[in-house]
Amino acid sequence: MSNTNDLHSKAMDLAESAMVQRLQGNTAGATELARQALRLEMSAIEELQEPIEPTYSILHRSAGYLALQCEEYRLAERIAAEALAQEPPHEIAEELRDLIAQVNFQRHLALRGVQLGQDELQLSLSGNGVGHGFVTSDELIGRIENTSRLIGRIVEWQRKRPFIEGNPRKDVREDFPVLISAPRAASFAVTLKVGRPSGQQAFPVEVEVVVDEFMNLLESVNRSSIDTLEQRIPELPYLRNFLGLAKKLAPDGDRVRQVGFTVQRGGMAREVSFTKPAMDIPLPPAIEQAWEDDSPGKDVEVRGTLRFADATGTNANVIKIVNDKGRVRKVTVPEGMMNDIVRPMWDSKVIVKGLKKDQRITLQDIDLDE
Amino acid sequence: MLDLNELGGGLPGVTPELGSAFAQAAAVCLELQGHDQGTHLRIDGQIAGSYPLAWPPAGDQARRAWADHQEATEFGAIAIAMMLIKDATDYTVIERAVKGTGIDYWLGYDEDAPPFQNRARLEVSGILSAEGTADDVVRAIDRRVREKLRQTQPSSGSLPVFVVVIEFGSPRGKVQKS
Repeated sequence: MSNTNDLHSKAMDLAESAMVQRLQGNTAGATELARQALRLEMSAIEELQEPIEPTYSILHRSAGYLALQCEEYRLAERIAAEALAQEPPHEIAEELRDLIAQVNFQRHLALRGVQLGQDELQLSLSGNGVGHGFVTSDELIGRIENTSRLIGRIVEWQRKRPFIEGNPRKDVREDFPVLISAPRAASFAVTLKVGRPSGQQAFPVEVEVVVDEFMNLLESVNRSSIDTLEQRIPELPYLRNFLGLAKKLAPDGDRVRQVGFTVQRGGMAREVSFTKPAMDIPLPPAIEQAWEDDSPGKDVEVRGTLRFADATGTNANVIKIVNDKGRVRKVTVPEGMMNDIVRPMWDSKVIVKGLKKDQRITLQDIDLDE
Repeated sequence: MLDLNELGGGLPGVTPELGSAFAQAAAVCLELQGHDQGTHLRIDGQIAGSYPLAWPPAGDQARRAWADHQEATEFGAIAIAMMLIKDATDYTVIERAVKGTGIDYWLGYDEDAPPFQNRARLEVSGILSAEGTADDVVRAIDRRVREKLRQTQPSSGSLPVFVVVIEFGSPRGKVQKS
């Protein structure tokens, strides 16, 4: 048994070093260390005389996740299946099934014969609310609408036009419409095609650049590279808007556990597997700083029904939250969030996080209270 | 005294390299919340008590390295949980396994047994700062403990688990064994 112990211990030392490298942003170094750890973990399994539990299944789960980190999907699938074929403890069996779901999602992210144009991206969903070829309409339609909004906002930003509340400008919507293909059974996947402007543009923006910017944005959010985002998008209303829309695209961690986007560039697939749940996406420091400067108040959380969302007139950028006892709280919405982030939740139960100074609450984040 | 500096020397199941990173994450969270060295961590549950804390001072480099506060909170909580378990129970972190992109820690006493035999799982969660009154903080910690227990043992869970939740704002936490 000491051989198994020694090999496993060395494998975990390498896995820890891989984790440190990943935290330091050295992805290539992390993958190489994970590969070495995988080899040792597989040897540790081979040294086991019999499949005693939970040793057998935990070592397999560990090796399977290392294989996934090394993008050896078939190996990860085989390792998980071997352990599931024995009698793993219930909770480890669940984790092995999660591993297989993640391997499958990576397969679904791959295009599997589908050719994408430079102006197309594949959206894939997986999770407990996603069947093979089926998904609840709310999960899909909301994400397609928010992808379309985000594409429109990226075009406006790239055209260097100031942020306006309301929908993206008419010319942007007409120049860059988002079209949807027939769905495919790949957990659930559709191709989204971004239209190309037909006439001459006053501020030319290439559709490929818009799609690439969309992928860069989601990758930064998923990696929590908020510094990178702040440097790329110094305009606060756009930054708030992009972050808010990215949160709406993000998985909830249960019904939808992974949201993937794939594009094709130079014959190669580029994939962003969006796994960070919306609740774990941090606010960028620039936003926090701006609120602190404007209203150095106290953090508050308000729950109730969103009864009022107006971006015009004397109540511009004020919403009202009515709780179960009829108490009304007014909340000011910063520029960039009203139309795309707040208004779609009208008449729904929401949780508002904000900063309160005197009697004024400034919105920081809003989510459906489900 | 829970001295997080000790993690820099590693534990039986933690390399000095990662132990230092965890301790640094905890330092960033504690200093972000304005705590001074020696501040007391109040723990409820299985090993209730008040534990003074010491940590390696977080410089600018550490603050930049842990700019993602969500990640710092998660790893900082692991640092405190490891030291808490080591100092206040007979257990220590003794085994590791890979799970997702992170490491899953297991507690035990006997290093000669096959891996994961007679071990308890360590499940840790961190909260950077819960809002509201002291009662609200306790409720937020209790809620997180229940969520962790539900996630770890979906139905007929058979492996013992230590759930540790650390809230850095107070600072306060809870340890529950199931």
